[in-house]
Amino acid sequence: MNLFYFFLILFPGAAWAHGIGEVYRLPVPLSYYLWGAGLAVAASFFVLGFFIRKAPEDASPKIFKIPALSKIIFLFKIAGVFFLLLTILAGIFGADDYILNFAPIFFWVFFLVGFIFVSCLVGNIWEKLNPWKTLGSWMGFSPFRESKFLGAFGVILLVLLFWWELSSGLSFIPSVIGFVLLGYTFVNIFCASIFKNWFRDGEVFSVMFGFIGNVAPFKISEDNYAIVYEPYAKKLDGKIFTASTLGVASVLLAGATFDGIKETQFWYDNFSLITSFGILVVPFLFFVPYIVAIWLMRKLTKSEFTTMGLARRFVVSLAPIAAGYILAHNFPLFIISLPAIYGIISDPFGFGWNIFGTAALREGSLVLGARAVWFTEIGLVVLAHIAGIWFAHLLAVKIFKNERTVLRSQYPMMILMVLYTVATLWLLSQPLVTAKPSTVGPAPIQLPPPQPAIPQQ
Amino acid sequence: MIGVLILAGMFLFLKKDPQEKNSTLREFVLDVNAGTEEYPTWQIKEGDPVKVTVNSEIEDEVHLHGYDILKDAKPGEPAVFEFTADKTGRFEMELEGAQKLIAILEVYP
Repeated sequence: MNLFYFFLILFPGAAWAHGIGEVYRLPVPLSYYLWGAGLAVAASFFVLGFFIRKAPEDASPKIFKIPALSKIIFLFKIAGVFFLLLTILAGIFGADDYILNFAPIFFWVFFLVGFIFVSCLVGNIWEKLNPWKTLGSWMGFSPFRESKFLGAFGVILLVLLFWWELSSGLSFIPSVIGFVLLGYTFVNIFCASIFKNWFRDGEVFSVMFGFIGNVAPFKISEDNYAIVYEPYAKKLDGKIFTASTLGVASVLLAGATFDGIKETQFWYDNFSLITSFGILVVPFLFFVPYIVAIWLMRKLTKSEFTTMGLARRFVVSLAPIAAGYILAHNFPLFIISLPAIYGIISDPFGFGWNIFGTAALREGSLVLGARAVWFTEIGLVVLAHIAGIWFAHLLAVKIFKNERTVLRSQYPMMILMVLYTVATLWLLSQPLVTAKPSTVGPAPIQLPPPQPAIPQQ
Repeated sequence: MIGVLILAGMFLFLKKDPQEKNSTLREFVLDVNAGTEEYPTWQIKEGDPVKVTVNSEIEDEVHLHGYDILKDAKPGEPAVFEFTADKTGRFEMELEGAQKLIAILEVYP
C-alpha cells in the first residue's frame, strides 16, 4: 500500500521518526465497493449502448503554439541531468536515512509517480527529458543497429524495477538507489551507443511512460513549439503495438496492484511464502484473462486477424486502466509526501544544510481523511474502467467496421474490464494484514498495575 | 465528461454525513512487555474522545503516528494521553526507541 511499509517489515530497525510514506489507509467499506462496482457495470452498458453505433467523427488535432516551450523543455532537459546526478550523489554520499536523504523520496515518489501523472496529461514527455538520452546526445553517439530483443529486455527491466520497489526490501536505502542509478547510467550509455531503438523499446522508464502516455489527450509537438490536442479516435487509429507491449501492460497492472495485494490478510494467510517473487506471478493474472477475452473476441467476430494481431491492437485499451490503478494506489502517498520536498531541496544529502531555509518544514504532516482516500481510489479505478471501455470501443469501430461485429467484439472486453475493476475494488476493500490477533472495539479495561513504592515528595 | 458527472454524483452520495457527537470516552489500556509480538487493533469512530494508557516494562517513548503524539513511558509510570479522534485512517502506535509496533488505531469516518 505504501512503498515504505514492506521495507520496514524487513528492516524494523530503520529510522521511522516522522512517518513519511505512511498513508494511513483504511480498507474501503462495503458501500463504496458496491457503488464502484455498480457504476463500472452501468458505465459499461452506457458506453456500449450509446456510443457503439456511431463511428466517432474524425476531428482534426488542435495545435496551441507556445513559442517559449522549446526553451522550457531545454531547461527541463538540463534539470533532468542535474537531478539524476544529484540523486546518484545524494544516494551514495548522503546520510543513510531515507527520510533525510534526497534520493529515496525523490526517485520513488516525485519522479516515478509524478511522471506517471504528467504522462497522463501531456503524453510521453519523458521521451524529451530523459537525462540518459540527453547525456547520449552530448556524447554524440551514433547507434548503428536495431534489436528486436530490446522489447523483451524492457519488460524484464520493468519486472526488476517493481521487484526492487515492492519485494527486495532495498528500495528505500539511499546508497542502493545511488548505485543502481549509477549502474543503470552505464547500461544506458552502453545500449544507447549501439541500439537505435534503445530509448523506445528497452529503456525501462521510456517503456513505462511511453505506454502510459497513450492515455494523454495532449502531446508536445515534435519540434517542441506547440502543445497538440489529439482526438482519441485519431490517436488510437491503426496503431499496432509490439508483442512486448502486452508484457509491459501486464507488469504495470501487476505492479500497481501487487503492493496492495500482499498487504491484505487474504494474501498473508494463503500466499505469504511467494511474496518475494509474487511480481513474477501476478502479471499473468492480468495477461491470461486479456488473451482469453481477445480470443473470444476473435471467435465472436470471425475476424481475419490472429488472436495475437488483435491483442497487439487492443492492448492500448489497458493503458488507462494501468494509469488509473497506479495513480489510485499512489495518490495518497504522493500528497502525504509533499511536505518532504521542503526538506530534501534544502538539505539533499541529509548533512544538516539549509540551502533554501526550508529544511525544518519537512516535519509538517498532511493526513488525508479516510473518505478522501476512498473516494480517490474508487473514483480513479472507475474512471480508468470507463476510459478503458471507451478506448476499446474506439479501436473496435476502426478495426471491425460492421456495426454488429463491433458490438459483438465488445462483450468480451466489457466482461474483462468489469472483472479487472471488481477485482481491484475487492482488493481495496480487503482487511489489511495484522498478522497478529486483533481485538475489535476497546480492549478490556485493565486495572492499572500496582505502583512501585516511590517515596512521595 | 460523463465520468466526471458520475464521480460528482458519487461524491455527493458518499460525502461526509453530518457528524453525530459522541461523548463516550473510548478508553484503551495496553501492557507492553519486551517479549510479546502481539498488538491489538482498536477500531473507533471519528470524533470519539480517546484515552490511551500504555504500561511499558521498558523505558521508551510511545508514538502515535498521524496524530504525532509522543509520550514517555517508564516501568511504573505509564504513558497516558487523551485526544479527540479528528483524523480518519489507520494509525500505528509504537515504542519509538525500540521501533516496536504496539497497537493499531483505526478511526472510521
